[in-house]
Amino acid sequence: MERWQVIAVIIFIYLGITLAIGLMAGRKQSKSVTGYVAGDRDFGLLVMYFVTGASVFSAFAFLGGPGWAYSRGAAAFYILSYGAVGMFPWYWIGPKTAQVGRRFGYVTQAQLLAGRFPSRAVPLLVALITIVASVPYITLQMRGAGIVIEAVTEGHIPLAWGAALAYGIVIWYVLRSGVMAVGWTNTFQGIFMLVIAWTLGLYLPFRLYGGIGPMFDQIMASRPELLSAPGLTSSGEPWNWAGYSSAVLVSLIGMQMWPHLFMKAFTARDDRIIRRTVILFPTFQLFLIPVFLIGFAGVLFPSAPADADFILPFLVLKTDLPVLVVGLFCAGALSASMSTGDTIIHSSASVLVEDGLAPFLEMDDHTARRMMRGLVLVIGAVAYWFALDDGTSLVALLLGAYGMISQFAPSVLAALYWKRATTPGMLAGLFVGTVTAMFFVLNPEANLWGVHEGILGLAVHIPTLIVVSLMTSPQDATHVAGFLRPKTANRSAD
Amino acid sequence: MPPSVRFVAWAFFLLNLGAVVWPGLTYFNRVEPMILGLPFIMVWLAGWVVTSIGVLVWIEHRLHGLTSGPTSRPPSGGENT
Repeated sequence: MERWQVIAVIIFIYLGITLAIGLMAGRKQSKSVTGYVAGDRDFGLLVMYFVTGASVFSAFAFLGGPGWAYSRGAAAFYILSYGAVGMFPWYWIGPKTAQVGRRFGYVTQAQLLAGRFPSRAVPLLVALITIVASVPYITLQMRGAGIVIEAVTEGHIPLAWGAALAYGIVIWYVLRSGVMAVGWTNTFQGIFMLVIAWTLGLYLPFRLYGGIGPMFDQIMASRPELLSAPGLTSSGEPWNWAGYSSAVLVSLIGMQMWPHLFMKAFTARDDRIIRRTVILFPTFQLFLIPVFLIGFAGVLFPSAPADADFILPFLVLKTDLPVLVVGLFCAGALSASMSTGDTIIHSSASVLVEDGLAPFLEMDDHTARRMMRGLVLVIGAVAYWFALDDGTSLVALLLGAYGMISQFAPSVLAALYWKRATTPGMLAGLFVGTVTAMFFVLNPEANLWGVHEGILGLAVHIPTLIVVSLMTSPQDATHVAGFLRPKTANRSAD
Repeated sequence: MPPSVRFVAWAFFLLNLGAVVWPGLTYFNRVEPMILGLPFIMVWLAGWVVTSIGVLVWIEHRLHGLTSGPTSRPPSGGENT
């Protein structure tokens, strides 16, 4: 058997195991919307830990992380900086979100927002932003999977087939088992990612430079600019502190606002599990260290890949590793892609039905669940269609995704913590914030200091939210109490 | 939440944030001394990630106790703002 065939067999075995786990996961789940979207609110600590870790760290971290370290040096450190500090407030916000969810029966972010701020525009706006931000993200994950498979099979399985194969399996298990499949496959894939990243990250510097210290000594001697923050831009120019710092800031504000992560608060069995997931999350985060080491290992390598994002598969193929290691690496990269792709496909289909359609159409639980499954297929197909394109048309949307998603943060915080917030204030803030962020994505030349568009959006969003709220009449106190104090407020008042 | 926990939580959050962006990071933006072969700046950033585990464990201990069962409730009586 040829080398690429052995690798292909390893990939098939990995995909087979993932599929089996995904299909078996849903057997005990109830046939309700709460079952499909929130796993009957019964996720334990092990699953929550890996769902959170594996969803946050996607193909971007596994392929893009080494790519950034390789081509942009210390700029990549921003990815290491935002995770733990961004998760920290979730120790309080997460359990509170879960309490509100249990009290009112919410399974999505928009239901919570529309609950506190009653208006039909709220779920529509949230569903729209979610879809516009999610589809490019899914496309990126699909391309990541296709790129890896194409690279390690030496082109025998082209990008289009590789992406179709990996995501055919994702869609199969998401259709069958909903969020339970996402939970259990992410547990498997998360363990895989951690093991592969640490193994390769420690192995490659030793193999190529005789150790981690000697590797950095050599980089320091010939490319010192790579080891000094804020590193370089994608075109190799020095990056500025405004760009670096605002990237950290927008990421830490935005990360928990992604619907696929936010909605996991509704899946936890109890508050304690959310708190402990937050406590343990930094241990997952540290896997970025070997990921960066892999990228730095490529810096002084005699030849270079065509695209920086290929540095990991490139090094793996060029360093003459045992075929088993290459196969396992490939499975690790697929894990990273699929564990993020599955949860975003699932959450965006859920959001479209629960928030985009349910408020406007009469539908029972059974119909809603069926429509979610239909939309899983539709969203998968749309993202795949974009993935076959070379992706250029998506670049603007992709850049804008984090900027738009971070606009949910003031709305959510106001819903849970600010009694004076009003529906017009929340809607006006979310609208102008999103429009501002999109404007600067589409007109980068207007952005004079290189500050992240999301931060510029928030700079307009937050004052608007506050001013419009204060100018409109306050909400009823008992209504507000249900959200600010979900455990103790008087239930009969709702 | 007891005032001491609230203070530690806010202080840690702001310190952590300040330490990983401009201007805080500019004081620790160097390669030497290397630790375990890693440039100092990487160790600095990773150190904050590790420290956050310790701080959160302490907060969990103060608010809920580390050995309590899943049904335990905060001793303060459930006020969570």
